[in-house]
Amino acid sequence: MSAMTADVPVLEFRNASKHFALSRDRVVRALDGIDLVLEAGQTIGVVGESGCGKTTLSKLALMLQRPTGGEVLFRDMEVGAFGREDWRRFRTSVQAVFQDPWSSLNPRMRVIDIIAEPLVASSSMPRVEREARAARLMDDVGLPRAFLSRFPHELSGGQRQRVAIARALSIEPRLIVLDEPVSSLDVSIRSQVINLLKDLQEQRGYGYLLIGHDLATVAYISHRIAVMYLGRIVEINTSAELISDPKHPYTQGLLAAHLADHPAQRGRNVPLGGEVPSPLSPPPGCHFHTRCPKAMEICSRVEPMSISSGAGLVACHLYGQAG
Amino acid sequence: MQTTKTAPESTAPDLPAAPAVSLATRLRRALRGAPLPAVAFLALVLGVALLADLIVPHDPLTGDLRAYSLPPAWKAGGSVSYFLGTDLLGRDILSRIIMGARISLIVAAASIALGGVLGTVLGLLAGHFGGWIDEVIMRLVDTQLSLPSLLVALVALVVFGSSFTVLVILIGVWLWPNYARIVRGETLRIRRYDYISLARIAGCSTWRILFVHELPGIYNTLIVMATLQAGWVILLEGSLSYLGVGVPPPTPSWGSMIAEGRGDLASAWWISMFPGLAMLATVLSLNLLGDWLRRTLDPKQVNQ
Repeated sequence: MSAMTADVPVLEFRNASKHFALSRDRVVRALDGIDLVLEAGQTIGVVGESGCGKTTLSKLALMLQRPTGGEVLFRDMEVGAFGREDWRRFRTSVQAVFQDPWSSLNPRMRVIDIIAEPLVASSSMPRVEREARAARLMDDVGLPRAFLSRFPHELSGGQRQRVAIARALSIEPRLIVLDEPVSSLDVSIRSQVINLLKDLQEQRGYGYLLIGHDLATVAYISHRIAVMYLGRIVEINTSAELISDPKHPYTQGLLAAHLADHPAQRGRNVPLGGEVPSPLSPPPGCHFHTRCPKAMEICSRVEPMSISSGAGLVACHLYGQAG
Repeated sequence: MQTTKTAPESTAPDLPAAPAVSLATRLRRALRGAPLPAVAFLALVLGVALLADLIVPHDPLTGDLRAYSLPPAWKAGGSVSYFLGTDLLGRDILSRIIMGARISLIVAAASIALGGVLGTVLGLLAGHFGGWIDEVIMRLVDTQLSLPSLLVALVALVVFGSSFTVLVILIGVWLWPNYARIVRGETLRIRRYDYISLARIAGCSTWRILFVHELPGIYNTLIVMATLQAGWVILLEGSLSYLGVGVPPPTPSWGSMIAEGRGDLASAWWISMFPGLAMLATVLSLNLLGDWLRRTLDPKQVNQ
């Protein structure tokens, strides 16, 4: 987070936490002290196993939930300070595409109305113009215009996800939160959708917050990647550096699960074993020490600080001694 | 990071336009598996109720005292003119059944509309907002359901006098908790879908989310409920009329007609029997239709 450009970041998490109190002494720390900056037109990937807080992160980014600690800023403005006009600006600047294309389209609306809804909700664009825009968006996402009059159940999963993307694009947003946009699609469709998202960003400069659990897919489209484990960011770096030189043993483990195809890497990283501990009672010190192949005595006592490493940050005691 | 760019391909070719389907074919498809005798009978009752004034063979309100207590036409002493016989005041049973159909259907439709709208709106609010709104509404539901409704209705009708309006309001208030409970549950189910979150992200107003996204998902449930309850309300109106607090006389309703004949079941059974049969057939048909609708209106099959 050293490279602050002159531009105002689209989205910024400052030491943001989200704790859910289940009862008086049982608290789920879904997010714990998250620092994250998303510059305009960039993609930040967030990866981690299920239960690491990725989805909570996306809900905070979309302002569907408020952090219980720290701040989430949209263009340097805290949500708590949002006035009516700020909310309107936020809702016309931020969109989302979710994982399940069966759940994200209203089964009773036609495709044309689904795509045009953000325009209905937040602009006074006349109907004719809205429908023309919807038709152009169909071209943009590679769907035939004839589908405009269809209902979602008449489309396949990949087609539905394209409709969801077209809807997200309708208001020309600055930021799109992509919460596992391809995980529920067939493998053959995934690359099409990912490439579509990548092309759209290159042409129009959308910022993406991409949530995923598949490091290879996320790395393909992201400029920077944050690796999360049990509510904390354990490593963040540019995609290239994170892939070629992962610092945190957890990142190494995730990579070992995916990229065993390069002979030079084979055997270097140990794949992850074991289960993710319950976020209700995360292990003390470094949350990862119970599964870490390089765990030391200090790891179970002291929570590691984030220290800079190359272009990124890593929170691991292995590097604390050196730095 | 290597990027091999492939242009997004259209995942499906343009499909040819669906062949034009004639109205008759579409109707036949829509009614596939429907309980046709029930549908036909309900259509008949509806038509008769609408045209009641025009098709009654005799005045249903005033009788011919010279022709009192006539048996149906096929019994000894019956007259073809009074096909289903006459009551003790010489009024034509068939004409009164026809007029009673109108009354029973109007009472059912009006009170279900009242209870349905009230219950649906309250259930929707309870399910959508949760919290104290949900608490208040659901405690009201519990209170309403724990009242001895029949007694309350009797007392209210005695206090306010029996009139069509009071009857409809009473039955409507009697019905709303069922709608509120079902609609609340359905709203809780629908709220979990991502398209509700996405509507919020798109900046939709609460009003729009409630009535454009949540309510339409409940329509099928409401149609099924209303159909099944129509039969129940006709029975309820009959019971209240039988107890003497329904639609005030001399307006005929099926329930009051059954009540009028109860003292003469041995000698003039037709006075109670035919309105009873009309009620039985109507309620049975409504229940059959409701069950079919419930099986048919699976959300996934809508719009096909």
